[in-house]
Amino acid sequence: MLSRQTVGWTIGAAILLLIAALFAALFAAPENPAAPAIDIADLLRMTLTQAAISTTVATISGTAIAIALSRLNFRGRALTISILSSAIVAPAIAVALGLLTIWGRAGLIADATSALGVTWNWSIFGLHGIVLAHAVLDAPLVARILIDRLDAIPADRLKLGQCLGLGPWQRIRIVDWPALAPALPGAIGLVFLLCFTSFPVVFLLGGGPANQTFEVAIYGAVRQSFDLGGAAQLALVQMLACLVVILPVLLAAPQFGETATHRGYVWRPGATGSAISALIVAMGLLFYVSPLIAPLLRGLTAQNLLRLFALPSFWQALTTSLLIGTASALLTAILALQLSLARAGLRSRPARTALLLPAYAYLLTPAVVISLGLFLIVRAMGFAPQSAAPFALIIGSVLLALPFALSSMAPAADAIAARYGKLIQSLDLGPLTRWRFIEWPLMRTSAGTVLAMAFCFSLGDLGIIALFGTEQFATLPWAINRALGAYRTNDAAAMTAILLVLNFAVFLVLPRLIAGRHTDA
Amino acid sequence: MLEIENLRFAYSGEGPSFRYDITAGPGTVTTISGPSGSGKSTLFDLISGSATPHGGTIQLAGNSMLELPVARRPVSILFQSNNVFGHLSARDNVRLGAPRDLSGTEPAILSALETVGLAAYADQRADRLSGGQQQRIALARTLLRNKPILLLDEPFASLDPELVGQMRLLIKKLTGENRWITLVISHLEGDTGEFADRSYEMRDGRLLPSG
Repeated sequence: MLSRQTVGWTIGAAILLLIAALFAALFAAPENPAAPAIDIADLLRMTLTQAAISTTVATISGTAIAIALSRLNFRGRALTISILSSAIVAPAIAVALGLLTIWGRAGLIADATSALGVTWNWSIFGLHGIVLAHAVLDAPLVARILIDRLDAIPADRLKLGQCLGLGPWQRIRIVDWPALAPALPGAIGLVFLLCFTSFPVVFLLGGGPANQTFEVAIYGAVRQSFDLGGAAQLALVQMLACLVVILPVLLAAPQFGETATHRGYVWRPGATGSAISALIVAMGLLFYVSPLIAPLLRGLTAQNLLRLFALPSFWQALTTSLLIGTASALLTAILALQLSLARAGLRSRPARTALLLPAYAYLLTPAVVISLGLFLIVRAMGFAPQSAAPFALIIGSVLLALPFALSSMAPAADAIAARYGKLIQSLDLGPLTRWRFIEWPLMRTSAGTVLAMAFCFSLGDLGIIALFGTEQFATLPWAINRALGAYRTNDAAAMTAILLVLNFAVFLVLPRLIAGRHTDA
Repeated sequence: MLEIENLRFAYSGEGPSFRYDITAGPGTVTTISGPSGSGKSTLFDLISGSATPHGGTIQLAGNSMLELPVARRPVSILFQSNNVFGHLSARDNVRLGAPRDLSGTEPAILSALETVGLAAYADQRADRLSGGQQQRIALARTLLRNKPILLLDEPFASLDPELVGQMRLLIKKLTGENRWITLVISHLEGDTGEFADRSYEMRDGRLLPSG
């Protein structure tokens, strides 16, 4: 039987080989001389500007929510944190559509104002719409990362600060800041990366070439100008920019899948402070939840659903999404598990880093770039992109989910090795016995999280399908995009509602189903 | 005089319940001992306002303390660890104890640091100093705060024996000079000897005079 390390190194090598193939395909892509010239400097400026503004807004809002939440102790606090956690899997296309449903010209606010006889002229399209959507998606993520740090402040320190009568600003500066500071660079880096490489939001809310970013320009170069060389050039510049801007900060990135720390003590502020904190948390929740609820309100009507259920294209898109999501989730979990167990058995630090590095490299590779690379590889192998589309979608989804999966599973595998490694060795347990009695019971919680996360990533993806989607081959997000393009907004809202229900049901239920009553190491 | 009578507290669910009766005068050191989880630290949480009792009274010089918010309770508290903010200098840590209306704060801070033998370290970051030095910074801060009640929750547990002796002497001296009512939670045998004026023990959820 192959050793775990052999399996791990084989997977690592395969991922590395795929990176090499992607790069080779990007470098060899043919140019289209008839295609319009692309102003890379302008694209870079625009992408950096929107990412910087979005990151600033999301970080400030997220930090305020986390600080406010740390001041409160109420029934439903754990649920509030779970809702914030769901931001990591909230489909960007649903948020963009939700914002359109609320703020758009035919949205809920326009309906309300027209009932009052006032015409709603404000447009959500443009930089402000992009920033708003990114804040909705990423502020809860920042809050979720930071609340763990604030909840981990030792009870003694809080009691001491309270006993000393520190004012609200002193509390932030002296007690909160030392806990937040180590986590902020990683959180900011992650949010910047997500905004820098955002596709669905800019695609749907950008409002034209003036607010175009790399992702949308790559999509345009492939699907409109068929300038594969130009698209490849953009992809390479974008990856380089990601590397230069992000890598130093990303090294400090927070881990996902962390469980909330036990709160030893709650330092409640006075009545005014508590009221302000409650208001901030309520506004933050409303800000995040309303774009997700809006499509449900508009889309989940009997009339919409009946029309949708009569469309064969809807059932085809739903089946494709579920099959690809399931396959991606299973493959992600298997690969992450093998890599994590292989790494846990390694002692040499460089070897441990080297084993996971190829998988982490995809953190710097946006979905559209992976999609473009796979698209070029498939063409170079002589296949029609449509025929290889399901495999490309699964591979792309796995590569995107793998870094998040590893950051959840690798620490769990390490903890088992550190705690029980010697005992397992002394008992001379075989790999299957070890897996069945020790590793699976102790890792099933993180395995559940990984499966749910990978499924949701795949279900909500618009970046990879963007280059492979056709009328015959569609996933739910692609079908939503097509419905929007054909002004079938009710169909789009109904499909978004179904996407959201599926997404959050899987995210909330699957980890609990798999974990049962077990807790990870 | 600090008088605690029939003070009761119980954790929710099936947790243990506690009852406290204790009297302590100014300028005295009172030690409290008992096994882990017996409710010693809970008493300090009740006195400092971090927990709310289910019944009973806490009076200082005849006035009830129970209605006062945490920040206004006449209490300084020192824990086994986490008594200083590591990223601040010794001086800034002590400054946090200065009353808002204290005139000439700087000389008072230095004087407090001098009293605990740390004037030379005033501008050092607290996390660069030893455990004993950090405890002394916290003591300097309590000097500046000058609250009548000093609560010490296992303050010597992380110190080496030589430092423990020095700290006991310092606390005893400062308690006498400032007329503090000092309550000390301790597992150390030496704390019930010359150091303590009175000793209590937690037994079966009740605080009883020991010996």
